[in-house]
Amino acid sequence: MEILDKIPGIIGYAVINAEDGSIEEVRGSSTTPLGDLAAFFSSAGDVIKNSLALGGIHYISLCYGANRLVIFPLDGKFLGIEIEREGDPLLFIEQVKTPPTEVVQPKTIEMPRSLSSKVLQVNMLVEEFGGEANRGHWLEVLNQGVGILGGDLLPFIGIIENKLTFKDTPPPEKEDEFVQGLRSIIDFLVKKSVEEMGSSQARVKVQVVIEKMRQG
Amino acid sequence: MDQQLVTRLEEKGLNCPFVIAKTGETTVSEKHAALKAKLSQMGTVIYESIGAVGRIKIENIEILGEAKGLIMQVADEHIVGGLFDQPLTLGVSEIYTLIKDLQTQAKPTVVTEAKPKVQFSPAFLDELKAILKDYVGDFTDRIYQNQLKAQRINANDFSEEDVRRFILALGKASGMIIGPSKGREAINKMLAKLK
Repeated sequence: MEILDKIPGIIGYAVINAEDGSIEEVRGSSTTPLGDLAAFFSSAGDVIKNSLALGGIHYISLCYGANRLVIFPLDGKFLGIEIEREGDPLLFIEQVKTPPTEVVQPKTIEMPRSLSSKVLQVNMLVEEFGGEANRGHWLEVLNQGVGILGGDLLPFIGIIENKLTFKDTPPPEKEDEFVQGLRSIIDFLVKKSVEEMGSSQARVKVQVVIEKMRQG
Repeated sequence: MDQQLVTRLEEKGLNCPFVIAKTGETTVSEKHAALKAKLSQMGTVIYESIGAVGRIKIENIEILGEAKGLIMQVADEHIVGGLFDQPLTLGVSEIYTLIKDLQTQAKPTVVTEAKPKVQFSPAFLDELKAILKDYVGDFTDRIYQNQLKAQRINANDFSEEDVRRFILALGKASGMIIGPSKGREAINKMLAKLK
């Protein structure tokens, strides 16, 4: 389901086994319990479908706060994708079932330097803190930080192939806000590194990243 | 009241409208009386599912099948919605607008023995923000603004329920920075402001 990581607008997703209702995978930066929501409502949808003769389910949509979860069947699974509330469920389902070329082979995204340097810094910090052995843990920490601090950034970014990546061109008018968001995420990573490895070791690792960035 | 709402929804073109109270009491039009028990059962399934996932305020639910679809607005005490044949003749957003408008109109003009509504001023949110700052420092503005937006809180007009939901969301987000026990402590301090 890696394609879901690449589709702009998908904040997070859950994969549910349609046979037994178990949660197979939850990914993304959402702070909503997507796995539980998708699991409970996919089986509720099944019961209701049979009782009221709805026919095969196209999709189930749940709106909460600023977002919505769209649950739909695909290849013996139920997928639950979280998108913005105003998003069109059918458009996203279509993109998941038939990914557009620019999603399969991502185009180069034009980004102002202010944003690209912050994204680079985030990725270098994760690499430095986690190394090869602990990268998974630090990607989880990054996901948490993105989830609570990302705000409007969320539909635009995601972790693709272990790197924080812009999935879509950020709107120019949002540049300052997005820079602020990424700065908060960097602060969050540094705070977590101090907690986990102590201030002196964390400082050394942050210095390494600063030095690498200076060297370009 | 519910019968009046169902009748008006039907008059406005909503096929098979219904109101399902959390207690299970279900109101449908005479034309669709045969579906009453099944719709009531559906309401139970929805409420149980919402209860199982905890404190997420689900406001709208759509279940669209090949033959029929359900569009529902969920409130604490009841679900209002319609069961439709596919393809839908009204747009989904049109249906929600219709339900919302007619629900507002159907509210009684005189309410007796109603619980007095607690009024909050926008300054109350500033008090919550000040507590939050003690816990998450420089992250305060970001977390506060993100949760305000995520929970769709109108800073000039919000209810006690909105505040509770907002506090829990702030506490949960803070907990990811300062740890769950400190996050709970922040929640308790903010909830104490409600007393």
